[in-house]
Amino acid sequence: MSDWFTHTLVGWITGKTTKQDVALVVIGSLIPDLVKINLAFTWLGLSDPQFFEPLHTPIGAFLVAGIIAIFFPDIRKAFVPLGIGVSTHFILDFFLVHVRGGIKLLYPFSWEGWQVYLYRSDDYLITVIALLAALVIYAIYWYHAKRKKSLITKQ
Amino acid sequence: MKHTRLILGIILILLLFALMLYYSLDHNNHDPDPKYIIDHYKQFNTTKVTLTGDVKNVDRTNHTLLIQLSSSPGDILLVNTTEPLNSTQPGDVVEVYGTLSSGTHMTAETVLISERWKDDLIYVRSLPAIPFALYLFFSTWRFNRSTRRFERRQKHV
Repeated sequence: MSDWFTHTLVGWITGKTTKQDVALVVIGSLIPDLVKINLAFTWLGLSDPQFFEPLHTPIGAFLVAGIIAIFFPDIRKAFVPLGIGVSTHFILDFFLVHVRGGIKLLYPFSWEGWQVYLYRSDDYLITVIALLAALVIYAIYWYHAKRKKSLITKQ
Repeated sequence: MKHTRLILGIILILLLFALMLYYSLDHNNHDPDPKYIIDHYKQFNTTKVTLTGDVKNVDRTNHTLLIQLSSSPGDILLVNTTEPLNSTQPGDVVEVYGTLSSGTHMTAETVLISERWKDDLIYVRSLPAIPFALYLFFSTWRFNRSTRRFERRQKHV
């Protein structure tokens, strides 16, 4: 897994650049890692922590996004940014190095795991790159907002 | 139409529950967990499996690693590997792919070793995400108890 901070940063960048609800994209980017609930079950010694594994599959994560979207005034308008966030999570995790296997993209129709082995989960350089990219985008948006404000004041 | 959201919610929860139940009941036939693999190692004599754990001991002379499996802490595995173990230390996190010759011995084809501090750093790096996500969310949305829905804060309308 990539760390949560990288996921939220990539979610934030995606939300900002696609002009979506940034907060919901960021929340969506963390949905697949709700699977970590299984750590609590393992720690408590309760049976079958595997029960939660489908949360880290696209269909499972989109179902959770759908459930969350119900609590918003416009379900569709909430589901779209949540879904974009979920997608950024899987795109980022898709490039993780493992000895074998990968994300079960087509579960429950197929149990096969897919992965492109590009970077290791313990590689903190990815977080640094995501942080720098987020800072650059924040600076660009801040500069444009400031410029727009000064133009309005002049008029 | 009054109960549309409720019905949709129930349908989605049931679908998710069905998805999780199916995984729970059938995963050992497709993607078995380490405990199952170790307990039924004879079934996996001809197939290669992936196991993860913590390095307990490194024998550089015989090219072996003693591993404590992470999801089955009671189980110890001796792994033969051809990969270099020069920088491997006890405590490092290891992912191995290979063939089990017994419930306690594996011949590895591929080994992926993470230094312990780098693995711990993943969790440390994850910590800022929680306040970051909560701040972003609750500065944009607030929960209205009477409607039982989130609504946009005034400055974000």
